[in-house]
Order: sequence, then structure tokens, then C-alpha cells
Amino acid sequence: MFLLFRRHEKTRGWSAFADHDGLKKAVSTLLAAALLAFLPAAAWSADAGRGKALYGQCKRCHQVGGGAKHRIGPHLNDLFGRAAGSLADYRYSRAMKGAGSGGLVWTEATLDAFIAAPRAVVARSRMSFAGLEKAEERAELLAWLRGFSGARSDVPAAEPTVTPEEYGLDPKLLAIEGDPEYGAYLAGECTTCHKPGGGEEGIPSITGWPPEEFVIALHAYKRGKRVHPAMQLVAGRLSDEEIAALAAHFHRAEDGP
Amino acid sequence: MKQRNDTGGLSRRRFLAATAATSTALAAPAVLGQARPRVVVVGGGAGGATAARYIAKDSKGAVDVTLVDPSRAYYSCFFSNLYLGGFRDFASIGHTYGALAANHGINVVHDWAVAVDREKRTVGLAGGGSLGYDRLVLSPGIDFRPGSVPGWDLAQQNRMPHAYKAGSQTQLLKAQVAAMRQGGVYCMVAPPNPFRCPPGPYERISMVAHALKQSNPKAKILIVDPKAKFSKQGLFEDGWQRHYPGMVERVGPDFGGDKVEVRPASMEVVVDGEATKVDVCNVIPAQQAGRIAAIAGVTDKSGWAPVVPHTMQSRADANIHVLGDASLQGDMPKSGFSANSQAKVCAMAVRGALTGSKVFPARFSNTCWSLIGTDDGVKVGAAYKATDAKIAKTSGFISKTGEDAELRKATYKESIGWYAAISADMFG
Amino acid sequence: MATPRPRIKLPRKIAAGDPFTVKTRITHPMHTGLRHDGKGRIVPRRIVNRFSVRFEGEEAFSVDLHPAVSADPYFQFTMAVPGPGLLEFRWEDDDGSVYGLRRRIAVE
Repeated sequence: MFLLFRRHEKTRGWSAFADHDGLKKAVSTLLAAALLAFLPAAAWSADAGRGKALYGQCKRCHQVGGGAKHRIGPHLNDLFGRAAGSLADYRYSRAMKGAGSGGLVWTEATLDAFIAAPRAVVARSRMSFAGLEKAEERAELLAWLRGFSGARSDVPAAEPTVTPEEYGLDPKLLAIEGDPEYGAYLAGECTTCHKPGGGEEGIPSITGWPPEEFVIALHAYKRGKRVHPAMQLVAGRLSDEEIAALAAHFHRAEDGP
Repeated sequence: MKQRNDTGGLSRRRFLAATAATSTALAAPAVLGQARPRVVVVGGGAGGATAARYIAKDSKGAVDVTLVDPSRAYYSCFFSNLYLGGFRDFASIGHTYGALAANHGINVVHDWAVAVDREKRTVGLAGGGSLGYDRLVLSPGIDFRPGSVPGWDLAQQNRMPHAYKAGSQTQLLKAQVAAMRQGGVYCMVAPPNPFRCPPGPYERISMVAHALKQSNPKAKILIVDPKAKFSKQGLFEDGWQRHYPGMVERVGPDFGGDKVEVRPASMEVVVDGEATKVDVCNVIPAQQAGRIAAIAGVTDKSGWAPVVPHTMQSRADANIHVLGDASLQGDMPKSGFSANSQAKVCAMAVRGALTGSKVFPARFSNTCWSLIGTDDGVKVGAAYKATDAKIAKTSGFISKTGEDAELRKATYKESIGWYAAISADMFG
Repeated sequence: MATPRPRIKLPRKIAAGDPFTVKTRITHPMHTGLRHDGKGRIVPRRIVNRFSVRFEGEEAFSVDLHPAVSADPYFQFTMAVPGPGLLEFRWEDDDGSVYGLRRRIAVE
């Protein structure tokens, strides 16, 4: 283990110097795989109770497992060893990309610090999570998550972040085509409170959300199945088309100032 | 000045909406004979800064936007009470206009607007220049109504601060509270309706009580109030009992709160003929629209500027829009949130008129958060729609007494998130 | 605790024999003796137990108060006076304190 970590540190130094993203990623993935190979088999199982239960706080935004996709947050497969903000097909906040190019790599130690207090590590991350206070809970969550990094054949399929059925919504609501120009106007009502880009923890960012998540969340508020007086008030007077328009807008919206 | 037809703006708006389908955002300007249509915005607060930003940002340079405000730094009234309570530092409620110029090409002019010629469509500046406009947006906030509190005028503001326009007045009030003698009396003369930020005076009482509880626990707070009722009254009174028992006394009109006079020289407050000596006296006078609105001739005898709810156009002049505290619009409270909400409707209407961009139905909303004590936040909010007569409330919500501490803390955190967001929405 | 502060409000003009409204309020916590403080100790009972009004030495209005009257007790009542005189208001506290206010009434 000692050797591995030393090599890892060395690799980071070297790859940062060479500034070669692809190579860095390849090396990191290899290292993560090597790390896993050293772990005793009993250290992780897909349904290990506590870690999986704690992941319940993450699963509204992140998918992990076979076929996991980016949702509100990026998928968490092969997270260990990955440079922060480095997946090409996910739109990270500027802050997260900056942290990655500044050398932040997700390891046991950096993830532990990040999950404890996300904004202490990446100040203007879009991730809306206050932090997991207890060290042993973070360890359990990370131990479970680590099972999804590296080449394995036995990972379970990713669970969806949210489905229309959970709130008794008609899936047809997801098929409505939104008018982004109308959405851009309507969005003015949202951005008074939801700061584009990294917000404060009191109000989550809604920039870049997948339209499905956005539509389901607003309809859940509109029907009183998610509870928040201001959101119920705002969503309550939005038509199905207006919700679709907002979803189309925020999906494409950029990080603000 | 000639009065224009009230409905002029509306029919124009509808006409433009109808033709929007065949024009693009960068279609030839509706105003002929010049390169770009010009918008002048007077007042760089929640209404003016937001309107300038949205017109410039969404027109992508097709409209020439000039923002006029005498101050280089804007200190927000919202959250200034949290500074009084020690929950924010002064710098954290200060903002500058640099990003509006850099990110959106807005011309920022630091000067007083002192004249409006509605025929020639120009705004005169104290520094001597004049700015031509196709549309003028007035968002001047409030001024105090002379003589509303006998014995007080602006010349007394250093002895008896109002601290109701944030900045050095807020710092002065905080210093006076800190310097108050042990067991002294802090008095607030509260304003009559309508006034800026309906829960504001009572959040201020909470924050002053919070500061005094630590530095001066035997001090007392006296509110002399001409109103029988006030915003979030149940929530505030419940909070004062829980956090500051026995500290706060409010004298409403029942006991002469509507018959008040102050004597700054002797630091006395006279309530219904009975004089009381106080140590700090925070006089928040009755209010009216910022002066430039009256100079432009768009105010009525109420002292506020009536507007067409669909576009925030003045009812006196379709080329002028009035936003925020200065406007007389109907049911919305005078708040930064309301001004920001109205500014977006106005920006859309102005762009529609000048560039032919799409115009959508107006919609408004407002939420006011107040902090009562540490991690004890409450809120009140509502949604509004434009009718021909007024901006009308459609539904609303308010925090309840007896909510658990977690919810109150979450509400407070929400307010911090909102402050960051609205600041970016105004100045980003 | 802050010292209780009584207030009264009378009409500006009072005519002999005509009923007029009197409003009174005193700032007082009105501890019932049943509530616990933050540390779990009983907050001892302390209320205003009697409020009375005399005109020219003669009782015109009085009320006995019991626990469960809310803080800052407020009373409003009507009375009439035959002519000018002294109106005296008296609040009696459990702790033995008495708070008083006087108003000399001139009639028209």
C-alpha cells in the first residue's frame, strides 16, 4: 500500500507537470484498479447495509453502478483516482473544473474532506449538500462507493435518481417539448433565489439539471408531493408547458457570474 | 407636461407581441433615426440594477443601456439589519457596478439625475450633462415625507438616525447601539403604511435586541408605532418573548403611538403628550417615491408613481417605467425582491418595444425573510398577477409560530442563499 | 426582569355623565408558576393578581387576575364620571410591588 500511494503521489506530480489529461486519467484508472486488487474481497459487497443506506442522501442526484448516467450530478463509477471535474460529457461548475485542473484528484482522503464539508474543499461547487459530519459514516459511505471504481463484473445496475411514478405523475409530462425562450423569461422568477452556478447551501443550484429531474421536481411541488411553501407557490401556478419551458432553459443554462 | 393616453403602452405592447413571430431579437430597432435604441435607468438598486442588467444581457447589445446612480458602492437595505445584529459584516452588504459595465456593456454614470424632459426625452444630470432616452426606467426607491414626525427632519439624522437607506446611517445606528449606556432605552419611531420593507422595522428590533442582549442585557426597547398591526406580527411577538423576554415594548395607536413627536436636542420622545427620555432614537419617517419620480411628474397625490401592471409603465407617460418602492402598483410589498421581480417584467416589455423581441405575460412574486434570533428565520411570500387595475395577489404563505428549530434554521440558511442569488441577479 | 411599565389611554374630551372608554396595559411576564425554564426548573409564579381603578377614592372598576392571563395584560372598559376628579389606577404584583398611575379628569 505504501508503495502504491508513493507512486500515486509521484504520478500526480509528474502528470501535472506534463499537463496531459488523457494520460493522467489513464494512469489514475490503472492505479485505482491496482488499489482494488489489493483489497481483501470481504471489504466490499454491493449490498453492504450502512454504506448503501447512507448513499440514499446522494442518490437523488448521482447514479452509480452498471449503466449509470449523469443526472443532476455526474455518475460515480470509477470515481476513485479520477481528477475532479474531468468527465468530458458532464457540465461541471467552473469551480469544480478549476479544482480539477488545479490538481484535485478524488482519493479516500480528498473525498472524505469533500463529503464532510463540500464547500470547504470546492467553495463554489454546484453540489447542494451540507456535509456528512460523522467520520465513521463517511468511511462507510466511501467504502461502499469504492466498490464501483475499477474493473469488476459483479456491480449491480444503477438505480434511477427519480421516476415520475414515485410522485404518481403521468410519464407523458416528460415528453412535452419546452420553449427555451419562454423558459428564459420565466427563469427570472427562479434566479432571484437560485444562483446560477455555485449557490449557497441554503438554496440548491438548478443550473444544468437534466430536464426529466426538473420536470418531476416541479410537478411534485405543484401537486404538494414535495413540501416547500415557496416552491409550491411558484410551481403551483406554472402550466405543464411552462414547466417544460423552464426545464429546457435550465438544462442549457450556463454558470452565472 | 402633456399627459399621454393610459392605454398607449398597452396597445403598443400587444401590437409588438403580435408581430414578434415575424421578427428576430436583433430586428431593426423600433425607433428610427439612430443606431441603437437608448434606455436610461435611474437608480442602481434592486429594481434599477436588475432592469439594466436584464435589458442589456437579453438584448445582447441591441439596446444601449445607461445606469445612473450617484453612489459608487451600493449597500443593500435588505440584510442591513443582520449587520446591526452582528450576523454580517458591513462589506458583505456592499456591491459595486463594475460587472454590469464589464459583462454587459452598461454605461454606468455616477451622478444625480435632477431633471426629466418628457417632451425631448432627456434626463438632466447634476454634473451638467444630459442623457437622451427612448425609454426611461425610474427606480429611485424612497424619500422621507417632510414633517411626518414632528421635531425630526433630515438635519437631525446624525442625532436620531433613520438608517432606512443603507450605508453610513446603518453604521451610525450600530455605533449608537454599541455605545448605549447600560440599562438605556432604544426607541424606534416606526413608519405608517405604506413603507419600504414591511417587516424591516421589526426585524431591526429583533437584531438590535440580539445585540443588546449580549452587550447590554438590562437595556429596553420601545417601539412607538402609528399602525395597529404590522407584518409577521405574531411571529415577531412570539420571537421577542422567547429570545428577549421583557425587553421589547410596543406602543401602538391604542396608547398614542400615532401621536408622536421627538426632541432631538434633549433626546426625548413625546408619546401622546408624555415625554420619555431615550438613549438611542431611530426615527423611520413616513415615505414617498424618490424625488426624481415627482420631478418627472409621474407621481400622484399619494406621493407614489402609478404604473400599468402588465409592463410597469407609468400611467402618466408610456415612455417611462417606474419600479420598486417608488411605484404604486397594487398588492406587492415594497421590497428588494418585489423590485427585482418587477424589473424583469419591465425589461421584457422594454426589449419588446425597442427590439421587437417576444413579450410574455407579466408575472410577479415576492418572499421576505426575517431573522428574529440566532438561526431563527421566518418568511412570508406571495405570487401576483397583472390585472388592468393593479398587481393582484393570487396566493401566499407565511411561517408559523411553534415551528421546530431545524425548520427555522433552514429558513435562515435559505435567506443567505437568496441574498447571494439576488446580488448576482442584480450586479453579476 | 424588566420593571413592569403601565400605560393608560383616555379620551381627550370627557363630558360629565357620558360613558367613555378607558384602555390600560402593563408590561408584565405573568409567570403562571407551571412553566419550566431552559434548565428544567419551575419558573415561580409571578402575576399581577389584582387591577383596580378608583375615582375620587371610590372603586369604579376592579378585577382579580389568575394564572393563565397572558403576558402584558390589557383591559378596556367604559365608565362615566359625574364631574371632574382624580382617577387612580393600581396594579398589584405577587411580589408585593404596586404599580400606579393617576390622571386628573377635567370635564366639559
